[in-house]
Amino acid sequence: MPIDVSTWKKLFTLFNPLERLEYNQGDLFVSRPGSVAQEIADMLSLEVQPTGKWVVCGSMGSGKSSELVYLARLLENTHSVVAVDMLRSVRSESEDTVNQIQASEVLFAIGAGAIRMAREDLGHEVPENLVHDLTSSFEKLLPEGHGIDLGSILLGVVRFVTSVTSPGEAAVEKAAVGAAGATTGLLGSRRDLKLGGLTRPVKEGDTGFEKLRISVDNVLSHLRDLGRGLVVLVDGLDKVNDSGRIRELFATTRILAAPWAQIVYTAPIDLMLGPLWNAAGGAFNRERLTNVLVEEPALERANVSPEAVAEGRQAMGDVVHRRLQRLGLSVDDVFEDGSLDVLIRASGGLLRDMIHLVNKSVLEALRKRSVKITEEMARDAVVKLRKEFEITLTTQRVNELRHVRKHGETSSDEEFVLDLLHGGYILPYSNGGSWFEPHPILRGLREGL
Amino acid sequence: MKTTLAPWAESLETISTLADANDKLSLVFVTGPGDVAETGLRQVGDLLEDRREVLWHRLDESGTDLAGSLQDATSEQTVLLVHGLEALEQERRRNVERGLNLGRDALTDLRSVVVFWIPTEELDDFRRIAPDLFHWRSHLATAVHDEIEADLVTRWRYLKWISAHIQQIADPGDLNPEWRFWASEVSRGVMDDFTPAKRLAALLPWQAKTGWRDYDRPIPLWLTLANAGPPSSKCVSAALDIEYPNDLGKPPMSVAACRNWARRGDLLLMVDDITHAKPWYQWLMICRTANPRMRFLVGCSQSSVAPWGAGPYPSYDFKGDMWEVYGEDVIHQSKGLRDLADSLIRSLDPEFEPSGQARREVVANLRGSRDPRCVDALVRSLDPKFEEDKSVRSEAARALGMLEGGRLAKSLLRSLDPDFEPERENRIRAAISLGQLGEAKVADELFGFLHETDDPDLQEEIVAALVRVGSSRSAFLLRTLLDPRILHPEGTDHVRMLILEHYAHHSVARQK
Repeated sequence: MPIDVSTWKKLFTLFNPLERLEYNQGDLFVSRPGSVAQEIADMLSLEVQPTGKWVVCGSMGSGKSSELVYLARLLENTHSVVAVDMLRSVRSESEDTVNQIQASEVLFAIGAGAIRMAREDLGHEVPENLVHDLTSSFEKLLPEGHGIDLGSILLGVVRFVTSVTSPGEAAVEKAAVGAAGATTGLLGSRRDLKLGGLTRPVKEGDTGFEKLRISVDNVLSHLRDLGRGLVVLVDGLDKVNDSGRIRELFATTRILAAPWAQIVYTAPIDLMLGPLWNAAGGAFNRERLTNVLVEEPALERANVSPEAVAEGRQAMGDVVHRRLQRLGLSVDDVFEDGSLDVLIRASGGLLRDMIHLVNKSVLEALRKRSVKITEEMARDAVVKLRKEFEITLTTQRVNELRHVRKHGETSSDEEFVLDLLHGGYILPYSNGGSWFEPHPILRGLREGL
Repeated sequence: MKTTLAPWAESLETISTLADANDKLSLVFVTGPGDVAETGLRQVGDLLEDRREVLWHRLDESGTDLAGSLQDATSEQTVLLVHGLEALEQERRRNVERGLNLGRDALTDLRSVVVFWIPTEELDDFRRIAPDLFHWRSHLATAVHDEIEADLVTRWRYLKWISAHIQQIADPGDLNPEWRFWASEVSRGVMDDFTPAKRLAALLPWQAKTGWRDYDRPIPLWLTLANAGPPSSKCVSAALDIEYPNDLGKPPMSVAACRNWARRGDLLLMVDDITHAKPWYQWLMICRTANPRMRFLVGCSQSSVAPWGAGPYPSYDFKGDMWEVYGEDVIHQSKGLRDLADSLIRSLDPEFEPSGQARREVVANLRGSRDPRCVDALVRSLDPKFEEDKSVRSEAARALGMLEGGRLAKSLLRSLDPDFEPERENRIRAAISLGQLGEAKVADELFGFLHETDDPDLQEEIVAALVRVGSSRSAFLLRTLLDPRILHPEGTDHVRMLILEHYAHHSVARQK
């Protein structure tokens, strides 16, 4: 079936990088080989670690949030899921609020999210004294004369599972505030709704913190008593990119590991590096959401079978295939022979870049009024994405990338190396063991990449 | 055939396609010099203004509430041009970038193309600080100074216009596939290696098939035949299309503006159905002399072809450069597409252009041209055996006086010789031009002519020229004239006075 202009436009929207995988779009989720969500779901269901904590870490755009959404779906029939989106629960003014998130605020968000989940999903009101304990213990961590409306802070915590079942999270949030306002009269300004650097820093043993921990535990315990297993999912902490803050959240304090519940956090890729993980280790189980293997690695010790690579490519192809199905199209309808493979190889198995590459190819096909994406168009898309990386390549970065290519690991955890990890220049892979490689899209830009 | 556009031109094309592809939110990031942020974004706005309402947002003045800037929109289809990072100091800029990143979700429901201008040196920071927003991009464009200043929107529109013309030719399905291929490449902007023979091969069957007669239709064919494909990626192109309203919708009448515009690059000018009015001829010629590589495409009715060679302004002869296409016959009127200055040069030949006034006009239009062939032609026009009209010779001397170089000076020296240039006025004009040139090598020759003439006015101009030369040799020669033992008996006092006056004048001028 030849693709016309109107279908290309629909495809463009379907592969628009800003279209994120939502809770009600389970048909689009492709379980990657060695699914992290499934593995955690199994562990949670078995309750071998009733208070276990997991961190899911990986490249930005590797699908951590999608994996958490998928995990929620896997658990929806057996567990009560408290799903908190920290990124949307922080203030959105010009301040660097994500990097100001305090561990105590995460705890408060978990408690608030649990109260909201009980009310909105289960139709159950958590006893007033537990809500009061939570807000008053949190208040003690706020600076004197803060003037913050605690009721609205409670409502400002965004739950990602709820938010994705409705047309838009903003609408949900407004609706939530409206409903709460109607019943409690607690309506603050939008500014007052959000977290992010509101509390003073605390450590374990601090009286204020202990009170907060107990109040959160009481809320969670109350929900557990309702009869279903309880799991807490916290998304958004992977967006913290300040290395000091990451260390504080996951390594130097154990606050995030304190609540008496099974909790899964998304975490920055920094936790995949040895030194930081060694500091954090013991408090969390680490699940590395590495990228899908789409090419045989150059690194000898990687030891990847051709079957594993084929399976990886198949998984990436499925990502495209499932989206195309929404328009009743097949891969063959849209891609000429070999063109999808060009995109898969260039993506490095990173979902974000796969979507970008298909999106660019669609645009190219639309521009040329083509009936299919040809191999040349796919290569043009690769070149365009490559240029976006090339703009910011420096000698220091190139040298580090060469080191990674040669040794399969970074030379250090210095800031510029972390930038390469955050920016997707260096991609993590695993096959039993794990290693890093420069993004294949960089190949050919400089010798030794 | 692989063609490429300059990065900014290509990005504009991509942005244009994006605007058509999606009625939801699209984010485009442009990285380029901060000082041309507004200019570059304006070009984006110009590009899309016929399809979308154009709105602006300054991050340094209005913060990160982009949705707020779209509230005043009267249309659902908008483009929001965002800049201001370039005006912020580092700490505030980073805060704004963080705010943009956190506020990303607030953009979700917007139905707009949002184009951010990121200063080149800040891109790395932006990627790091606002990774989530950056991840939503549909395109990252790169812009550089030269391209922004070259006003590529005009070029883009021009190419679109050509493309539209091509599509009007006939039902595309009827076209020869090779022709269609070529046409699509024209619309992309560059032809690198499509040989004329190949083009002709593509054209002839198509001609036979369509049998077109309409004067509009030869335009793309002329594009083909005249070997004047759209400009290379380094070139600037501009449309001069009187039917299509744009910035260049009418010829700029200022000579300086024409020259400046034309010198910007290897222009391809398309003038559709122009009248045979003098301003057009004049304008074309000015552009041509300013840039000998320039190519013209002129569309006109068949009946209007003749005046191009023998119309009311025969000195502006372009016909020799043209390919004419009549019906199914392709007549190659000239040996090839000649260097464009040749037409003008030919117009300086009295045998070709008998009107002295017309030749003088041509010379005037060549004034300032540094094309060696034009200079040679002007030098030739100094020769009374070639150019009998003294006013043309005078104009040529004046035109050459604006140039530099010893070779010219030698030519002008000949015009001081009464045996070569019988006209006194022209000898004086040549001396003035020599003074303007200030060429040191001719000091001895000038000195010689000073002794040979008894014309006080010519003497004065020669002395002035020697003073202006200002070399040690010219100074020595003039000093000898002040020596009574060397001076000629006639005119001694007059020449001495001249020298003293001019030195005094020169000295005052230098002090000033």
